[in-house]
Amino acid sequence: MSLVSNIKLTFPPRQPRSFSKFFFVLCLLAITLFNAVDLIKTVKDVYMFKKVLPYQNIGYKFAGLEEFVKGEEIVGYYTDNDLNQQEHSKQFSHAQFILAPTILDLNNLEHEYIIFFCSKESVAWQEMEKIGAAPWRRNQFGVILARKDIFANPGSHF
Amino acid sequence: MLLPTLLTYLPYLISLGIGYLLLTLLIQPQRKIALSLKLILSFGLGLAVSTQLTFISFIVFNQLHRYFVIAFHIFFFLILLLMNMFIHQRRTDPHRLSRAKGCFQTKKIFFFPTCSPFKAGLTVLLLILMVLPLWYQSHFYVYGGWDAWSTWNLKAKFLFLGGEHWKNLLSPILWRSSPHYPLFLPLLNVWSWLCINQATFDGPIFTSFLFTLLSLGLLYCGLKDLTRSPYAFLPSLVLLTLPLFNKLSLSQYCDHVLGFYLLASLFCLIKAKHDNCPSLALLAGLFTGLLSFTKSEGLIASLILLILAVPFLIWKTPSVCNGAPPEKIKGAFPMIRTFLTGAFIGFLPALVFNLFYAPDNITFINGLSSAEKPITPLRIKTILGFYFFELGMPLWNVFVFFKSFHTGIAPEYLEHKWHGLWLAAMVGLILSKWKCLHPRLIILPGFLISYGLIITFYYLVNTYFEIGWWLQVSLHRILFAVLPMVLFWVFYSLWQDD
Repeated sequence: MSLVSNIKLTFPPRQPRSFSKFFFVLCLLAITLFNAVDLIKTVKDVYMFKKVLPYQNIGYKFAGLEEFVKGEEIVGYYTDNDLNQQEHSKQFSHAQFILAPTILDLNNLEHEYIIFFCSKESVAWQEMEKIGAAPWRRNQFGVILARKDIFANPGSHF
Repeated sequence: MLLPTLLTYLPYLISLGIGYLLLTLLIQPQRKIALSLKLILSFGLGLAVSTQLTFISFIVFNQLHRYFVIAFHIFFFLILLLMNMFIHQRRTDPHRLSRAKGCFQTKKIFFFPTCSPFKAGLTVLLLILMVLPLWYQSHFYVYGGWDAWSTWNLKAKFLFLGGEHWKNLLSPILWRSSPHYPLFLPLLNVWSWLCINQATFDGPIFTSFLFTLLSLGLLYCGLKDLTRSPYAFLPSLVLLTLPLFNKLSLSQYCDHVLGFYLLASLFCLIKAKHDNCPSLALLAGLFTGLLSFTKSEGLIASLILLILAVPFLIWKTPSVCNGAPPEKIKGAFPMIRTFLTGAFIGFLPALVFNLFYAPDNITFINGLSSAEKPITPLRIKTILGFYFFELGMPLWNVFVFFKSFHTGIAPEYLEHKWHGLWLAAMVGLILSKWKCLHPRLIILPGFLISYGLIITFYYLVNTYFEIGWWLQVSLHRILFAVLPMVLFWVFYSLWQDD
């Protein structure tokens, strides 16, 4: 009996010395375990993506146009897509990022240079005709950089 | 290959050097701070100094002057080095200075800890293993998340490439990019591009990565310093393995910058009060002021801290006063004075930006006075619902599970964003049995309640955005920024007696 009463229930020195600490440490360890399982899955997904694409590529649809708007403080950006939809809004953000520090003025056709990014290329051509602009550059993704006073400044390239 | 890599990371090394020397000057020599903690605080301070020095170029020349910024950094570094040597010499031997002028000692300014190579190697290996997933993912999402390319990195491109037209980034046409946001992160990214002279994606990636490590490092070192607990690494480990935390860390947003400076200010404040150390209060003030230049939320956070810090420093904890000899107790006044001085210096860039550059926030409609978009009861319900959904996710999961159990249909969708971390934090607070409100850390709940109320009020009053969408894209980022300090609070509450 005396032997039993002399035994003290103590944690090893490196363990938390109270229930509250012990419980909190257990909670954190459990969450870490869940995290680790999820994280491995996420990293695996990225590994699969990397097999297809070395890294995320944004704004490639507007690639090549940046050298032609260089020096322009502001250019127009015309689109017939609904920018309330996330995908179209994202395209506009990509364009702005790629072409910075040039500002893209959304659907303002008053500027000398205007970028046409439309659902169909025919829509862009119709709009250019309406405002008296002519295409100055066009990239492989059908994005057109038009110029309004192109006939006053010959030397355009299609 | 080697040279571009070196040039990419050189600005960070210069910032670290400046921060380290500045911190060595600020902190009293008798103050013992662990090298890891000193390095983390130095990095934070140095990066902030680099941001301000880069900003000076725009104020003075109205454009980015590359050579000026680099030369200014080198000049500042050398000045700090000389001051450190001079002061160190005077501190160690005041008589020697008159005898041997110019014969400075550098070995005490830069020192390395002595520990076994095995232990050091193992620590470094474990650290690399833990950060590897984050590094790997961030080198896939090189442009970060939506707000990185549409706000923060876009601004950095305007600053770096815009020449005299850099102010175009403040144009109302770019309202989607929040032109009224402060420029801390863009300026830092510009600084990272200066040596390589190219707007590469390596700079923003490393800035993001670095701030994540600094936040987690400060969380660990701060807790270790205050509690001496061997479990102090656990909160950092939980965050480092949390996929959502990883995602937001590599998104190149400004929230982790805000999170780091918030934690740094609070830690320095608590430590300053704990040790009765005015130089740490100065550092806390600097970090508090710097917060205001990170984001609009940072400005709110810094103002709250400024208001709360004074009563917090005045309200002395018994453990500091009791037992200490009366001549050692300096009282709160020197700490308050140095804190406010630091805060004033830290506030300067935000003050200049807000007075002379920042446009009005055009994405604001006052729902209290607007007839077109007034505050509705549905808005209040949505906000509260989102709060519950975001913080009490596991409870929601239980609800979904039991509902599916009753209906006999397997649960299709179980949310797991935070993996119950917020619930665990709440449980930890309950387990602390009111110790979480102890005077030595009362500023933490004080700050969280004030910040939460103001943010909620802003969500409620600003009816410009559709509330569901707005909460969906921003609430988790606000929580992400405060999460390190919440875990710091919970852990410190439980282990403070150690």
